[in-house]
Amino acid sequence: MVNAITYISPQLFQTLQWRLWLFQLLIWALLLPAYSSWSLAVFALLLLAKLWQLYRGTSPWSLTKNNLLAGAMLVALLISSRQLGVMHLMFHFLLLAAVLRLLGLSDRRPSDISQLLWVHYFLLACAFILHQDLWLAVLIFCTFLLNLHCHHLCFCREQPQLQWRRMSQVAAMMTVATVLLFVLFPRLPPLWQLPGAKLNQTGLSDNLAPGAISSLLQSNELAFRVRFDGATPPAELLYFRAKIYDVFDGQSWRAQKPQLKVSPALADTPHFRYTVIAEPHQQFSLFALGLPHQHSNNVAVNREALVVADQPLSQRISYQLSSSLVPVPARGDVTRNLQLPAGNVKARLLAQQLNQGAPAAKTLAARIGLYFQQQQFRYSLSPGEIYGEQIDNFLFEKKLGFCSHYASSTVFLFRAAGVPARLVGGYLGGEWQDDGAYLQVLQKDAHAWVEYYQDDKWLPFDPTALIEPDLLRDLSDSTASTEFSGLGGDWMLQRLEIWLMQPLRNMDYYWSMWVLSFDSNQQQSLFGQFNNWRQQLRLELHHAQWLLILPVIGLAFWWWRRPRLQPVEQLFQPLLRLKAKLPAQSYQQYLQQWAEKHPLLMPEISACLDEYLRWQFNGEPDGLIQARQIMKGLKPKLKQLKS
Amino acid sequence: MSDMIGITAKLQDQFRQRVWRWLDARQPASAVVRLQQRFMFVFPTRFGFGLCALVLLLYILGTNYQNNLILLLAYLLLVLVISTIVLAFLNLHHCELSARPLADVFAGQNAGILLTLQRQSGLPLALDAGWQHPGQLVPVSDATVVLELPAPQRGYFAMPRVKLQSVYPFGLVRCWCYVRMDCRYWVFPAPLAAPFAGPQPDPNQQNAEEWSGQRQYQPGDPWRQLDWKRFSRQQQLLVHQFSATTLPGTDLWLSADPRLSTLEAQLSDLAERALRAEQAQQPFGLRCKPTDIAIGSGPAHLRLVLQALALW
Repeated sequence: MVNAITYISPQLFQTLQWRLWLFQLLIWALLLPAYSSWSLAVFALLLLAKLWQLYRGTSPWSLTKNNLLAGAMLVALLISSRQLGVMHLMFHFLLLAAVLRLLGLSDRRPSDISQLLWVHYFLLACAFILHQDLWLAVLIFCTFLLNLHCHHLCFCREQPQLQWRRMSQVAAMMTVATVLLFVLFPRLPPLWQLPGAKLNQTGLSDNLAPGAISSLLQSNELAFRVRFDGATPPAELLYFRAKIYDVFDGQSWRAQKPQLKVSPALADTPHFRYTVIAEPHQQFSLFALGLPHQHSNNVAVNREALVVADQPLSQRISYQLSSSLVPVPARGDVTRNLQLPAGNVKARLLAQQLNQGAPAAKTLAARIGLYFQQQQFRYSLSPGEIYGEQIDNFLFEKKLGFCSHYASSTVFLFRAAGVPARLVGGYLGGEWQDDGAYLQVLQKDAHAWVEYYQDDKWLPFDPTALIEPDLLRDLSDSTASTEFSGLGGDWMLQRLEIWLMQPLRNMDYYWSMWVLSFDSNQQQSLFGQFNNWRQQLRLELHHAQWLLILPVIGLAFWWWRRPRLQPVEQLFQPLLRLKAKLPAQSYQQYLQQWAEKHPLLMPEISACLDEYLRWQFNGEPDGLIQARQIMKGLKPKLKQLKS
Repeated sequence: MSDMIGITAKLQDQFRQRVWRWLDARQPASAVVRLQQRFMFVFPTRFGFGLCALVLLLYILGTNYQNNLILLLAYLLLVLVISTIVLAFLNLHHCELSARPLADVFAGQNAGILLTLQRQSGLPLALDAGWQHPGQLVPVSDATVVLELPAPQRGYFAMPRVKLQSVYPFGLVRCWCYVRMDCRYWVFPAPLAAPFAGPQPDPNQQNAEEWSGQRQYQPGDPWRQLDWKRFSRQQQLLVHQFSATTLPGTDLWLSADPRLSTLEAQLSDLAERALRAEQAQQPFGLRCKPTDIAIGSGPAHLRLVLQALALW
């Protein structure tokens, strides 16, 4: 029985296998962040095995071989499941199923192919979980098109010829339908929690050792982007708070334990509204300016006015905030912010010195700043290791360092003087892109500063800014050549890289704004805008509508009811205009009459008659085309006749 | 229990009859059938349902991760499934199916019917269709197939319904129609030489014998030529008469040989003799009711005679 579903020609099957292998290679590359080292090697070996099989033309793997290998891999994966995490485990299972199925694919059981294609589509969705930036999304989409092509091939008998016109028509309609569905289909909030990806954390970590942050300060990776609705704060106030470090053990600072979430109270102070698009950094902490009043649903604000996510951030997220640049109110017990480890005697003495007269905390801050400026402290991104007592060596010997050194010493001095203080980690400034459309904050804008306690509030204080005011300046076109760039020759290369990559990054930003962060809020606002537009249109039209609509209806009716000619009449229209045909006459007689009357036109008319008869009575559509051409040629002669 | 099975079988049969009648009204049989929407049906295949399930899964996944790209992929696949409904329909729409019998066959052979599928107007889309019928299908070329039907009985048969189906383009939606063609084929009775005709008579031989009637028994007639059947039924003794085969150039009339017990055997014998006569270029006629077929020769005449035999 010849059945369309089960038959596929051998050459086509071979081509299909090659293309499916290419797809699997691309997917293997795209799922790179999900592997542990050994699974990467195993999948590479399996893909090579398939390549060998295709190249040599050997028979597909038997079911038992497949099952044995699958069993072994499953056991290995389950053993290392804790290390991998649930989500990556699922990716492994899916990819394993796909690769083994391809290895055992034979044209005797072509229904296997449909299952393979199903798993491929699912793997594409998995790739989308891991990558969302524009260019990788485009690559994943191209891989999708490859799978679609294989899908199409699967149900053809031989290699089909590509019909570009028809394919582009269908593709255009499908694109329009997809975009419409995307914009109009209702969005639901997450139905239940799914496991996130278990990847290495990036950005500011929970432990801040002075040296650790230096690698971050040289990285050009994107941390987040900010778009302001309305007013933008001046450059020197762009401090984005991310983490708070309480506890110092002499070497490094440890971040606060997660604090309770609060619903912030609205305030009357002037505030800034902005949207943050944060890159995935596998941590809970997010970024905010000052004191947030309002926040979007996907984030929360905790007691210390830090913004946190409810799950470690494993994919790009966009959230809106409205905050005012006022000091954060103090909550809870502040005496724990006086904790100091033993040691650093000289620093403690200095603190006592500066605290002479028990001044207000603000004055103490000013004095500390003055001390830094007068003692010729300098800024450098590569100051070298500090051995022994960190604070003492920095304050009295080295006098060279970057933000974390300055901030950590300042907190020490505050605490030693009896003023509760804490270290705040976050980001400072950033570069305005695309004519000020959005602020791009890279990892090298990471910064550490101090908050000290006064009048039930935490007042911010940045010692590094006093030393290196360039940090606060708008750096979009800066050619800062201080030791700030401890990078040397790499600096030129970095600037070049930024200049090349920036247009691509801008496109990525707009991609994030329009596509990735299109959620139910945006959908509602889009509907609202559409309704407004419709109301406006209705108002405008109300007066003019009768003037417009009636003639249009009349025209449409006239067009619909216009007398339409039969194809025959259309064909002989030039002749009929000159001499009408009697109803009793047939067209044959009519044409013969014409030929008799005007013997000059005899050859054309008889040819036309022949073609007409062929078309009408033989059913050949060719006849009509030929007759039309002959009539076309006849027209000028008829014109001569008329004149 | 068997009653239940009987009843359900009967109900199924009745239902099927109803469906065929409904289909007959929508698509009357004709020689060339143009596939139209009236009798074409579409329904998703198992793979199509599987892909719909995948769309649902991806929607849930995208919603849970709040990932717009997965939602986009889900919408794209949904749009794909829906477009294939139209594409699968358009693939077969306005195709023309024509059938003609390949050749006249004898009972016991397989009747072959040539089925051709083509498209007259519009862009030639890739056609991919499968045929389903209890008979045997043999592909001849791209869009031509020979349907082999077993023909155990003689007669003039109409071609049964053929199911034409296609899952092109993505295997997600199946489009099918049951096509009834106005195509009839002849099955002539299988030529079987009568057992007592002896060795194959050579038409050039002088002493070949043809049955030419019966006469009363006269003592001295050979026993073998007695019609015993008649004697056992009617107690009449009659003797078969044989005359020598007529020489070429003279007329030959064929009529049913009563020595043979069944009608089928008689017809088979007649067919055999007609074929032999035609082979020997001997003009012959056939005595049958209601009217005899006049003497003639040639393939058309032979065909006429065989047709008369088939419809006896």
